[in-house]
Amino acid sequence: MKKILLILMCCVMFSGCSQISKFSYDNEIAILQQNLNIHSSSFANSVLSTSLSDKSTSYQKLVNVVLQNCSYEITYHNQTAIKLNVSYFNPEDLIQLAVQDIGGFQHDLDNLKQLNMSDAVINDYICDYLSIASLRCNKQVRELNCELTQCNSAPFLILSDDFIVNSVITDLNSVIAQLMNLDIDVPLNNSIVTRDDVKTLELNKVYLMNYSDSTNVIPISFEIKEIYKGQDAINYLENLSNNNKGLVNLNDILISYEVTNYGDMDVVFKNKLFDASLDDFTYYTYSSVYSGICNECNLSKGSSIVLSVVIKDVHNDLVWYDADIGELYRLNTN
Amino acid sequence: MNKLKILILSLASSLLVGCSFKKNTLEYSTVSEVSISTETDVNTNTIENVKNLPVIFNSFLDMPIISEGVLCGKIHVNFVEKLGIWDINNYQATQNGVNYCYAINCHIDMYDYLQSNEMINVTLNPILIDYGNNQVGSAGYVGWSGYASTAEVYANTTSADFEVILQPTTTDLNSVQYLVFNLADVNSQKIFEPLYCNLDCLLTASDGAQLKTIADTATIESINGALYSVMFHDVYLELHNVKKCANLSDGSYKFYDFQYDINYFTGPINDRSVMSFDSFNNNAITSAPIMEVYSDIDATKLYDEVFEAQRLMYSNRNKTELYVTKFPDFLNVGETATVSVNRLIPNTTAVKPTYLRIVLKFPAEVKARTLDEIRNFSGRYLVFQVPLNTRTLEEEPR
Repeated sequence: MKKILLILMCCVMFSGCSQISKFSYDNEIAILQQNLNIHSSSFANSVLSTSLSDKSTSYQKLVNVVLQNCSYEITYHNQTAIKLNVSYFNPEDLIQLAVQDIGGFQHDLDNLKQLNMSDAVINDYICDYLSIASLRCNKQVRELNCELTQCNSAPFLILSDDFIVNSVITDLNSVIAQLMNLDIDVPLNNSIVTRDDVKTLELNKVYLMNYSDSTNVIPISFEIKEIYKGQDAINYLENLSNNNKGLVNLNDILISYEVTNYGDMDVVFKNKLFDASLDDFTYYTYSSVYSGICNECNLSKGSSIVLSVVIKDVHNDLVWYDADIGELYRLNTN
Repeated sequence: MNKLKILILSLASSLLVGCSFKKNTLEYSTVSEVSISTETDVNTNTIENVKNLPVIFNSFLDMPIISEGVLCGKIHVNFVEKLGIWDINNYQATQNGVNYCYAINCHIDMYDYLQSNEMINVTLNPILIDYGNNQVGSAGYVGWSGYASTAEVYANTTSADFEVILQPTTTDLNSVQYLVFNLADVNSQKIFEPLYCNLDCLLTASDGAQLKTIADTATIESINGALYSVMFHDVYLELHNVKKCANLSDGSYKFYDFQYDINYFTGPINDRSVMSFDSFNNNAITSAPIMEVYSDIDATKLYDEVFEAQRLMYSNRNKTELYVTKFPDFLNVGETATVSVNRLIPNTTAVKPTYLRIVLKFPAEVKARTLDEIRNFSGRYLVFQVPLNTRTLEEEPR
């Protein structure tokens, strides 16, 4: 019995010895880096909750999203002093992402401002937007210094998370402040837009325009190549297909225009020429269908296409109107 | 408190919903009064939220060059380098501590314009616009790129690569909204429509050349594999007497005097022919790089030496000497040439500068390289910034 007890004691002592011999400073540093990256508890003290105590839920969520998606690399260590490369969103990228999201962020921000919503509501909207956008933009590395609680035994813990929390909050505040003050292109009220304010598209002239396919905005060039009116339009369409006979009337105008996609994506291009009255800022869409005429096509990036469309000229004006982005031009068909 | 928050949020949500609902109803409401000659259904819609948003391009993709509604050509950015050099004559940039600039390399094709014209020389003036619509960057000059600075194209060669400098006047790129390309043909006074671009090309710029100081030695690798170095000694501003020569009458003139060393390490290792190496004389270097000098207070570019200038030799006597030396006819491998040169200070330099910029140019290398090879040349934007020093004269030995 005594022998067994002795053996057991020896085992316990040896296992203790082996545990002590396993401690290695470099190994613990590697474990710490690993723990940081899997967001396992690596900080002895946390200032996060106190730093966010007076902030809105959206803001708290945003900070947490950013912190949860930080990546860490220990670049220098000497006793308790360590240097960390902490990667999280690139502020420039993040702002660009929001600024370029004309149909989304800019549109929503525009609405909130027009509704005279309070800064707190706008601030929360921006935070919610950034919570998603911060995961989509490129990361930027910040070199930060911090200290370990101790360096003689495992596990290694960083004294406090204040350095990373402060860094993230500082960057976020800067981004939020810039987006809060973003100078949205204020929509013109229809009451002050007159017929004369609307830019005119002339035959055989090239214009630069934005085109929205409801999710993306791309730059295009636009040139009206040909306009057939009255009997010319009837002849053209009836020659195109016998199915059009009897359908075409003298109000129909056939317009051929060339569009070039200067964007970085392929789009489904839909015709946005309409019969309109700029006296009361109204445009009209008709259900007429003609054989050989298509109102939309695939437009690959960098490519051009000539599209022929039939518009009914019932009211005073013909317009190109892109409702998604408020782009309006009047056609000069003379 | 929480209940109040929920109430406010609900109110905000319902207001937003109301807003979008309003838009939908306006866009798709049907009006039956409209008289149409056919039986086609008609929808009446409201034109609203008319905006004048600029058309934003990705500058790495082709952008149309348009003048008065006519397509003249296309342009895109090949690459952008962020240089650790700034336009020292851009007061705003210097004041704001901007110590970098962007070199924007572009490809232009004026095919459409040159179908009915002989030639065109297109200049690009890039500017930066911030969110307050203020200009926070403009075209600048820092040194020699190896590429043309304008695009001179002809009916038989409609395309060209060229490079310009964009000097931001702010260090905060977050405040910048657009990069705008203003294109023009100076000869015909033709101005093209400005092209608004996103900042992608600046945000992804690779690091380019850094400003060199007097402590630095620049190592140049020719396309033929030869290696040589260039370094500068102190630069002085001195008043020298000049005996009548081609451009100057007798008198005293102010000069920048400087000295440089060219150390020829190793000769060519391939068959590429570069004019500044003499293959009939053991590949000796036969000419130094062109040296362009300008200062922090005067952007006038100075090129020519005045060999007739005489400088004081001693502190206690008015004895003078001719001091400007020529680059040796043949600098062989393993040899170092030390050359003393000067630049006559022009009248436009009103006060004493603090710094001189010495820009090195290597036209023979450009002739020997393809456009792609120029990009990797170590002589691109080789700019030394040297403070003006005072020469210490000793007494004449007895």
